Parts: sequence; C-alpha cells; structure tokens
Amino acid sequence: MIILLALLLAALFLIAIVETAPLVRQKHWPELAAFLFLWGLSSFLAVAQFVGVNLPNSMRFFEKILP
Amino acid sequence: MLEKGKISPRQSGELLFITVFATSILIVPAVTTSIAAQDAWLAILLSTLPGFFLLGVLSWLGGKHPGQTLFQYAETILGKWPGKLFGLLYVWIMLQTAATTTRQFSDYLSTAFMPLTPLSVFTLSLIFLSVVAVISGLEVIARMNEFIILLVVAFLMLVMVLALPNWEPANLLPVLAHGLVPVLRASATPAVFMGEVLVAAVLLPYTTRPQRTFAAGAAALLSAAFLLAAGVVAAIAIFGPALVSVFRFPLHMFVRTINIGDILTRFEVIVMVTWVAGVFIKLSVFLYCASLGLAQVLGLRQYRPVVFPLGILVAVFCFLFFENIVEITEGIKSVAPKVYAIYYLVLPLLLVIITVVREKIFGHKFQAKRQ
Amino acid sequence: MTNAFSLLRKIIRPRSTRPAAPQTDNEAAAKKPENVDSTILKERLALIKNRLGESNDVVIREFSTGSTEVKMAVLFIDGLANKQLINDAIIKPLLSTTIVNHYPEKLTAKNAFDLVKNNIVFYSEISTAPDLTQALKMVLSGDTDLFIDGEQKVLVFGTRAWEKRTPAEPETEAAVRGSREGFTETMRINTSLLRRRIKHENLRFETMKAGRRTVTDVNLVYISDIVNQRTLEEVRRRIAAIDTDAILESGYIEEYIEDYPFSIFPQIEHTERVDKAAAAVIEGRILIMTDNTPFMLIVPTTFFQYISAAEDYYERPYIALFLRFLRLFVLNIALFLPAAYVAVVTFHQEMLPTPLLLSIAATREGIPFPVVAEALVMEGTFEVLREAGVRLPKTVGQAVSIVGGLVIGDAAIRAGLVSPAMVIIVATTAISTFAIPAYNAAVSIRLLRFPLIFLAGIMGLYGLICGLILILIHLAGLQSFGVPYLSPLVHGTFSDVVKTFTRPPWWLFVRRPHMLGLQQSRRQATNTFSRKPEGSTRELTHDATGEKRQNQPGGENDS
Repeated sequence: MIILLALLLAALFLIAIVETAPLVRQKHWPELAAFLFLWGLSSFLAVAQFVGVNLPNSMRFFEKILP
Repeated sequence: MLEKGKISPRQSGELLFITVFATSILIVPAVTTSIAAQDAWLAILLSTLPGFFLLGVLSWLGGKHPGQTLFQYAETILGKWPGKLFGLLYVWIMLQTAATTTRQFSDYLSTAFMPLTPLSVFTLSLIFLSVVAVISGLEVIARMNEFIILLVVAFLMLVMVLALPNWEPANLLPVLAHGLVPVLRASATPAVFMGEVLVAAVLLPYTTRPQRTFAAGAAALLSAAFLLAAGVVAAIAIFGPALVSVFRFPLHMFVRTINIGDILTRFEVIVMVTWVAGVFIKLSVFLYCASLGLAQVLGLRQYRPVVFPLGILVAVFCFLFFENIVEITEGIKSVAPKVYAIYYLVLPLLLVIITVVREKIFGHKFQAKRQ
Repeated sequence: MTNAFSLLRKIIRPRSTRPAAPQTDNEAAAKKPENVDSTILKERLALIKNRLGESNDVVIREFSTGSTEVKMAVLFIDGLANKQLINDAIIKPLLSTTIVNHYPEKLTAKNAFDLVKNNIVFYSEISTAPDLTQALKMVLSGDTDLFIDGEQKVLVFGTRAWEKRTPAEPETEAAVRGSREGFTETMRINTSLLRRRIKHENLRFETMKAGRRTVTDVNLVYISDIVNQRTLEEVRRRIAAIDTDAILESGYIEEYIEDYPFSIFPQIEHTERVDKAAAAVIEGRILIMTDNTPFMLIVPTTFFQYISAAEDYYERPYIALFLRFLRLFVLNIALFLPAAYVAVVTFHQEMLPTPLLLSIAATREGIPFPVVAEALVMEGTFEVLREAGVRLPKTVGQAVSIVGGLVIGDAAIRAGLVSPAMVIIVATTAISTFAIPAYNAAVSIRLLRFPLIFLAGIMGLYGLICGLILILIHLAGLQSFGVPYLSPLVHGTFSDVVKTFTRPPWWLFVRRPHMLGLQQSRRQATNTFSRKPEGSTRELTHDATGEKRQNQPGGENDS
C-alpha cells in the first residue's frame, strides 16, 4: 500500500517535471499556470481516491436533478 | 493555431466510425436486447437518427464558422463568458465519456480474461497510451486509426462469417411482435453511442475539405450502425433474445461458440486484442477533444500541457463514477440517455436557435472569417 | 575556501567571458604571418612544404625551360595522380626543346602561363586555380599543379587515378537474377555506372562537400524534371548544414540528415546495387552518393520499402506478390512470435487446443524458470551466438554455430534447462529475422523483440498489444523528408497501396508513386499492353496456306 502510494506520487512528480521543463524554457507562463492548476487538482483527486476518501460523485448529481 | 496538422475527410470519417463503434459493440447488444428482444437491430438502426441530426447541426454551425471548433464558435455565438462556460460543459462530458469508455473496457478485460489482474492496470495503461498518442497530435491518431480500423473491421467480419454454422434464424422471428414502443425505448441506449459523433465538431476545422465531413461522418455513422446491428443479429440468431439479454458481453460469448475443426477455437483473445486497439483510438479521440477544448477555452497557445493532467482526471473518474460493472450497465440504461440528450441534442440546438435569433431578429452577421 | 570559490566561479562564469569558439582550421592557418602566398616560386615552394609537411607522398619536381630559363614546378601526390600521364603529357613537352621552340612566340616568364596552357602541354582536362589554397585543395584530391615563377594563378591538371576496386557483385544484396554490378568506393566509377543506365540528359550529379578534414565529396543524384524540387532543396539544406570533421561512410550522413535522430527505425534506405539505385532515381527519389563507400542513400524512404527486393521487379509478378506477403508475415513473426508464445503459455493457455497444450506442458515439465526468463535468456543467447559468428573467419564461424547451436542447445534441452518448444520458437524467430531483406530494418525488429517479450511476460497478450500500440504511435509520427513513414498505407492512394504490396506487371506501372509529390508522375502511356501484332501470331511461323514456314538456307538455325 505504502509502496504503491510512493509509486503513484513518484509518477505524478515525474509527469510534473517532464511537462514543466519545456514550458519554463519556452516561457509559456499561462500554459504553465494551467498545467500546474490542473495537475494539482488531478493529483489531489488521485491521491484522495487512492487512500479511500469518499469523493462526491457527479453521476449521483445527474441522477438527482433528472426526472 | 493549436493544431497544425490536417486530416483528410476519409480519416475523419474513420475516426468517427471507431469512436462510435469501439465500445458500443460491447455494451449495446445486451441492453437493447433486454428491452426490444429480437427487434434490437431495428432499435439500433433507429438510433442513428439523433446521430444524423447532431451531425447536421454541427456541420451547419461549422460551415458558419470555418476554421473554428465547437469551443471557439460557442464563444462567438453566446458571448465570451457564457461561451467559455458552455465549452467547459463539453470538456466535462468528454472527460466523462472517456472515463466511462475506459471503465467499461477495463471491466470487460478484467472479468473476461484476466480476473486476477487489478483493474487499475488496464485503466492506467490504456490512459497512458492515449496520452502519448494525444501528445503526438491529431495526425498521428488519424494515421494509426487507418491501420487499426482495418484490424477491427476485418476481425469482426471474420468472426461473423465463422459463426455462420451456429445460426438459428428462427430466433430472429417474429419481427415487431410487441409493437414499436419497446423498440423506441430500446433505441435510447445506442443513441448515446451514436451521439458520440459530437467529436466531429472538433475534427471539422482540421479536415482538409470541411464541406465533405458531413458525408464522411454520415457514412461512418451508417456503417457503424449496420455493423452493430449485424453483430446483434448474429448474437440473437445464435443464442436467442432471452440469453443475449442475460449475458454481460454477448459478443464475447458469441465468439466463444466458434469452433472450426477443433483448431480454430477459443480465439476471443485475438478479438479482444483488436478491440483494445479500437478502444484506445476512441479514448485518444475523446482525450484529444477534451484537451484541445480546454486549451481553447483557457486561451492557451498549446494543448499539450493539459493532456497529462486530464489523463489523470480520467483515471480518477474511472473509479469515482462507478463502483462496479452493474452500475455502468444500469446507468447506461436509465441516466445516461437523459444526460447525453442534453449534451447531444438540447445544447447544440440552443446554439442553432440563438444563431438564428441573432441573425434574423437582431440582424447580426456572423462573418465567415478564418482564424 | 578560495578553491571552492574559484571552482564556483568556473561553473557559473557568465556566458560573455567564455573563450570564443575555436576557429576552423582554415581560418587559423590563414592568420599565420608566414602563410602569405607569394608569386615567387622559391617562396611558394617553401610555403607548400610548410603547409603539407614532410609527408613522403608529396612530390615536387622543379625545372626550368625555354631559352629564358623560366622556372616552373610540378606538384602532385604520389599514388593519387597518374604518374605516367604527368611524365608524358606535362613534363615531357615542357622539357623538350623542339616543342617549346616550335612556337614563334618565345617562352618568357610573362607569356608562360597562356602559352603552356593553350599550346605546349598535351592534356585534355586543364583548369585554373586562382591561388595557392585552392590549388592545394585540388592536389589533395589527386590533381596535379603546375606553378610558374612570377604567376599568381596555378594550372591544374585533372590527373586523378588511384588504385580502385572494380565493380563486383554486391555481397549484402545478392540476387538470383539482375545486374551483378555493385557500387565501388570510387565516386567516378559510381557515377559512370549510373550514367550508363540512365542516358537521359536530365540526369544530374550535384556535388557538395561535407567534413572539414576529410572534405568528402557528396553527390546528389536525381532527374531534374521528375524530382520533387522542395524535397531536393531540403536535402541540400540538410547536407550543407553538416558541420563535422569527418564523413567516412554514408552512415555518418544518414544520421546527420534523418528526421528523427532518436528513432529506433532506419529512416533512410541504403543500397549497394546499381540497378536498385537507378530504379529509385527514375522513380523520383534522390540518391545521395558518398565518396569512399559503396553504400548509397535513398530518400525519401518509407517503411514498406524494406519489404521489397530488387529481384521482385525482374521475376514474374506472381512470385513477387507471394514474396512480399511472405516478408510481411515474416516481419511479424520476427517481432511477435516469442512474445506471443510467452503470453499464450503464461496467461492464455485456453487458446491452445488441448493436445497441443498437453505436449507443451509436457516439455516444460521440470524446467526451473518462468517462460519469460527462458525466452529472454534464449533470445539473448542467440544474439550472442550470432554476434560471435559474424566477426569470425568463415571456417571458425561454422565451429561457433556448431558448438553454440548444436552442442549447447542440445545439452540445455537434455539437462532440462530450456524446453524444446522454446528452442523451436527462438530458431523460427531467428530464421525469420534473416528473411527480412534489409539488414537495418531487421536490426530494429531484433531490438524491439526484447521489450515486447517483457511486456507479454507481465501482462499477457494485453501487454503485447500495448507494446504494439506504442510502436504504432511512434511509426505513425515518423516522416522521412515530408513523406509519412507508413505511406502509402496511411495517406496513400489506392494505386500506391497496390504497388507497394504487390508488384504489378511492368505494363501496368503507369504512374510513379503519388506520395512523393513529383513533377511528372506518368511513366508510360496507359495502353502499352498492345504488343501483339494484328491478327494471329501464327502468321509469324506459318504461311498463309497453313504450311509451316521453312527456314531460309544460310539462316541462323541451319548453321
């Protein structure tokens, strides 16, 4: 479990490094900001999902509002 | 310009075909047969109608705004911020579709072939492959698809021909025994898949002759529907409607019945392998559209930075949205048609109405300028 | 402490204070004060000795001629220039008083250059070099310089003639039928081989130079009214951009000009066969000839060129069709067979018919390793055997194959270390690798096999298909000089596809490949299948009366 979590985190940070390096070099700051925001969001969700936090399910939402 | 590549109308048609066909062949037969029994094939053919409607609407809108994707002309029609919100809605539905696709197929792989392997192995590897493909660009996806479509169609044809000895045509009769109502009700689920021609709205501006995309898309839709109907007919002819609606993956069972001279047998694995390729393309197309759409909504100069995070999101959604496979099948029967009807019919129609209102009543001219 | 600071300063030294980039050799040489060219022969010769050094193959012959004793010197490189010719055609007439005095004008230092050039020497290929640097460059290529005292310009005689190999049968691309001539290491012979095959006036040999120290000749060969001009321009640009000290083989150029340097697949085809090169040029491709190697590069290249061989075009179309599909099949075997075996035996035993499964299980009984390890070890062993055999002399090489293949293989099976089924798989794969016509394509297939076996070992056929998709993503992204690597299967016209996977009869080859974007695509008129004479061919051998025509006396058949 711990090992898998470590692997997940390692993969996420590897992705971050691989993706940000060219953006910093090209000085594409808006893209970098978008990436970091999305990456932070998705990483948070991924880790939360992994450790078993109950996240809200959007499908339930649809089920509620639709007749 | 976010995407420099161009694809030919044929390639875009092939992409639409795979997008519609790849997972529907897994899910649709059981669901439609459970409602419409032996008339399931009719339901599938009927379900192309909303697909054609959507394709027509998108072609009309695309013709008014050449060189623009759905996400760009939504801003032109609705104004900046409502347009962006509109675009985000579509990014969301594309991610959700990608997640559903991945989950459906991973469940299939894990239940049918490798029950001991954890589900995440399949989802993560599929998503990783798609991310790599999307980063490589639209042209690469289209070129790969020209390969893969051959494999998928050829194997499906082969399977149907090989299964011919097992057919019992009597299973297909009587036609329309319970009237048209169950058929219409059953056509809701395949319509969800036919509506996936939505991605044409993103592919259209990157096609070399956009005016021919409608024809290519229509051909793709028709051939996908016919192949799907043929698959359902074959499954029903072999097992009868009662069995088909109980099976989780009728096509899989159907391939297993093939036995030619005790040598050509049990090759559902090979069929699975070709479907992996098809599902991979479908996933790539949706991920591509979502990434490109998000980049356009946010006004980025390249879409590549958002691909990986969106891939992770899709992986998260895979496990978040569904707890088990039954939930997917139930969802696709009851909730999904309503949700997707909003996205595939209501919202595009809204765009059309607002365009017409602004043009006819307020005299606004949408200039056909190229970006 | 101070040490640490100086070290730090060295590391983070601002860019501007770095020493300037090293000058190229020629610039450095020209800056030296003693290297200033002179018109006085003595100083010039001293300069030449200074620049060329004491190499023993540099020959300088000084002499004076004419009634006014005009001083001259001949410079050439022994072994590169034709000494006999220099003696007979240059030195002999210059030293012969009858010839020199034959002309009414008297030979003086002033008119020596024109008189020698236009009248005295007996030579066909004469050019003029404006200064010493230029003249030295040409001498180093095998030409001969004639320096005249007091004259800045230098006479250069084209005397290149060195020991060369005669065209031999190409060993790497043997064919049962077809020309036996292969390219050699000498550019002039190679151009003549091509010129002999394509006698059209629009065949062009365009010379470029590459390599600062080797100054290698690189020829672009194309037909000017067929070739795609933009591709040609791109090839020129890429070759001109090569900045290195040495080009010793066309492989160097290949790596400098290919589109994707990190790809595992070869993106430029090479050939030793003259007929293949000529066919490529006529088809509208560009041939890159490099001096000192028999291997010519062909651009643009597509993946499916590697499944065709020159012979396909000389034998009957049916066998070519069969062979092409066989090669395609073999390519897939070489790539997938071991991985598929591992996947099926480890994960999908249900795919096998029961008797086959039982016999495989029986042979695997008592084998201590998992199938993946077995496969990786066996494939690795095979690669070792192969590498050991390639570099050895033929006689010893056979011993390697006997010891390696028979003794070790047999012993390993008897000892129960590997299963016979695995040996069969590895051997089949090996044979399949040899059946791929292009060596460089086979190499990438060989390398890709290992990761695929690994993937199949951990995820079964699903892993295999994931690997295949990754390879496909890579292949679909490749381009060679603007042509997609998987053309014509992607982006291709129907006729291109047909011409790639079958070999239509020659009279149906109406157009050149569409994917190359050529100026002229038509090769021949559409109706070239009208070779039969009007009426019956019986008339050729029979009279109108139906009698068999008699041979005329004295005809060929009688003798």
